[in-house]
Amino acid sequence: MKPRAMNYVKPTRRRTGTILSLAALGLAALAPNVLDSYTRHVLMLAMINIILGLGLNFTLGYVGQPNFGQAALFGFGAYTSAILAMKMHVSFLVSIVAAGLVTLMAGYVLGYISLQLRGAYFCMVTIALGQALLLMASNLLRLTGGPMGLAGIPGPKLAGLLSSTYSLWLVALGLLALMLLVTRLLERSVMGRAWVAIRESETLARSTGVDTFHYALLAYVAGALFAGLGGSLYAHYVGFVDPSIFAFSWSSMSVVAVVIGGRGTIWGPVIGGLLVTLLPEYLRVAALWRLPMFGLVLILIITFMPDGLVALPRLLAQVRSRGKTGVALPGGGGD
Amino acid sequence: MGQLAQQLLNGVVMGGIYALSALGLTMVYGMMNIVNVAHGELYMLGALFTYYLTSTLGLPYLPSVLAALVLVALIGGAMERSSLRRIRGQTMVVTTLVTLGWSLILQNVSLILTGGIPRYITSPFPETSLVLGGLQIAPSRLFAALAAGAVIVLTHLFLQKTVLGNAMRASFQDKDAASLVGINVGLIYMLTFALGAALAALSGGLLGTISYVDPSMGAKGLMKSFVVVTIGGMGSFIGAIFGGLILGIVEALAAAYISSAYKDFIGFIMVVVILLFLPSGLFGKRERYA
Repeated sequence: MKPRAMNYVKPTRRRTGTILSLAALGLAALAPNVLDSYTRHVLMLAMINIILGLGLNFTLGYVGQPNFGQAALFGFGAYTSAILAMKMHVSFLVSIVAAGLVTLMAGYVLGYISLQLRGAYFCMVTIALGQALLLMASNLLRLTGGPMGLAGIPGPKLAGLLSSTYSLWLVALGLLALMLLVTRLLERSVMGRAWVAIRESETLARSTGVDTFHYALLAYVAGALFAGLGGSLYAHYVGFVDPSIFAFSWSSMSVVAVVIGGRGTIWGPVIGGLLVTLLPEYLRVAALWRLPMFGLVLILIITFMPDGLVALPRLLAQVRSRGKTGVALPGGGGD
Repeated sequence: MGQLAQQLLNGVVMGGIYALSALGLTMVYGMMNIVNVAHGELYMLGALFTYYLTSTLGLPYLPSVLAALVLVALIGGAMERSSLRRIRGQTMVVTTLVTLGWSLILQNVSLILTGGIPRYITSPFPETSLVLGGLQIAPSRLFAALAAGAVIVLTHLFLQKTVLGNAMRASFQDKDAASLVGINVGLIYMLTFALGAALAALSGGLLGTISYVDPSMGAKGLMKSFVVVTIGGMGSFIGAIFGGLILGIVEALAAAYISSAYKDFIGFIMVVVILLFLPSGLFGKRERYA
């Protein structure tokens, strides 16, 4: 086995990587000019799902805790923006920044509570907090409009030139790029390593002096910030929020995205977010049977690739090398 | 005073039913370490099958509930055999998502096949309330609560006293040792999951006479069961009973004295508050707190 230097990338390769990323970003920024409105809409929703998934990935993927409450934070951001934009008529920029900050603070409180627990109990508290917020949003009629929700949230106009959807596309893209960058930086920082240490063995991590609660909370809060920004984006894009944004189905779809893409990897949530948005759209040909088929695909992917689609190349390589030496696959075929 | 006693009685009756509906969930978690998100759908299917057996086939109520129970147990067995078995030993998120996939399938197939119309199972009991010492209770509710109590006791005796029950507990304590003494561990896994499904179906069949039956009832039932199981302590049998009773009573009192709009809200807040002071619920095994 050759030891692998984790941080070392040849300077020329790194430069090519940067140039390629910037080129891709530029192309994506221009894409709405050539895309039809349906494709643009689906891709916009995919970007929001990816932003949500990348935020969830901190607790779910790196710290390894079953967080089924991301929709609580997403909804918090969406409602903050909706209320600010509609009742106080603030501009888009103020609204999205405020949503991010308010959700960050809410995330600190919710994270402080739920991270007292681990495993299944942590999972239950994240679900319970989401449901509690859902019921609050349905009952605080004056503030949230109750079950009818808030409709007519205005979209932004950047520099007064671009259309509202184009402006939101650019903001989403910028946010997405920022999140990928932040994830990459955190992954290789002391914090990212502390997260993985907690996931692999929290007891061991504590015994080596890692303040595990502190780092887990930071993961939760970082996820909250991005969920809040994503929620604000969603509110301004769709123009409507109602209490169902806090529902278990939103949270679980985000977990699905992260897991079928690949937990604790940077590209996992991207692949997963695209898949959970595009797959139900493509399954439209199956009309009514779209959701059962989605459930089936979900079971198949997770049963055969519990590490997600990012592990696919490795799995294929394994299959190929086994095929050459003629060793049977464990667990394959038979039953 | 009379109103308080009446509310307490309503709470206890509802609590018994909550306890039964959470029993399968807590058993599957305690033994197999799976958070079964499809539990609510299995409960919904129990009610739906009971409805069709009584109304379309015209069978009597009790045989219908039992037949629904067997059908749902078969579905549960198939879920375990086809997918859950392959990911045994994976982290909780992975197993939970497989059950989520099943939940999507079961709920939406039921929706497609039956339409979303709310239906009512005709209760075999008289409509008029029984009056006991000034307290009123509907006969169908009383029956459901008594049946729930009986099933809880029987399930407990089954797991503790019978050979099969012992084999189940042995398999989940140490599967290698269990196979060494000749237990077919794979079969036990399937039977355990099927038993959890059967318990869910039974509570659906019993509750179907009290409230309406439709494909979306599973999601609501799941959330109630989550609250019950978490308050009581996940995997704990006695915890499910106390969790159910506490939730039933608190909801009845909250609906009567605070506001019925906040009835459900209080349940979820209770979960958070109780776990802050008792990190593994009332009766759960002490889990390591990091």
